[in-house]
Amino acid sequence: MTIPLHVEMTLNSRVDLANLVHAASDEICRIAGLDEDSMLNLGLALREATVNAMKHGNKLQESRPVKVTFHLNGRRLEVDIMDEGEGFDFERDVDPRLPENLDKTSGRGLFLMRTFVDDIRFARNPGKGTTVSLYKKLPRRARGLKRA
Amino acid sequence: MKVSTRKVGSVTIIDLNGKITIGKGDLILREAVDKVLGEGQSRILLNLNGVSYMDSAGIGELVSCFKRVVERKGTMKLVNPGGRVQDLLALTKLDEYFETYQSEGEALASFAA
Repeated sequence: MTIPLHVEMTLNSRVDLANLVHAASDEICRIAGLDEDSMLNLGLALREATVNAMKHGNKLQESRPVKVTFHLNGRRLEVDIMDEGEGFDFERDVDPRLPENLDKTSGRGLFLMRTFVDDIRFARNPGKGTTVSLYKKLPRRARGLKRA
Repeated sequence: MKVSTRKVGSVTIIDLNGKITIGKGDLILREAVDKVLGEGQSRILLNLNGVSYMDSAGIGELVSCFKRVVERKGTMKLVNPGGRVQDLLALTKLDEYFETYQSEGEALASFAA
């Protein structure tokens, strides 16, 4: 029987701290037995979600925290990213691949998030902020969690 | 991310090594392209061979650099995007936006055409 893994990180809204979250994600993916591609994909999606929470949720006010929580059980890895603000406008889902959007210098983060995880959910908690949840299924062979 | 520049004929090649991500790599890329433009050079080849990783901010900065070069009536092309970077360019359809080459010789020849 494997004990689920639970890791929490609380960060100031400084975009350079996304590297810290990314490094933690890589290590947890290794523990989960995910392959290199899955690790890179989740790392990128998580980086985008974290930066979005800092920029659009917390308006880059350094003192406002972003909380990142990893939950790993035998079937999947879930990462929740919580900000303290209104969050970003996840309903405004613009396709950056459309010809008219190719020369845009921003607006690809949500697309990359959606592309690189198995599922993504958004929850707005009035007065408390926004939570983005990223889900990555574990391959069957990886479902016994590795010890680091 | 580390950057170095070299000149081949009328083309300035910017060799990029590392990650083009928010807050550092994207800013280094911007400064490198602006420096070349500031020196009056406007035929730029970005060598992505050493770029291991890019996020949406890095992708956005590539687009932004391209637009600034075009505003100066210049040309900016890409060469040697590695597997992961090439995948991201294809995924976002920016492989259709940027002129991209797999070899430096081929890229340099295209400037002469």
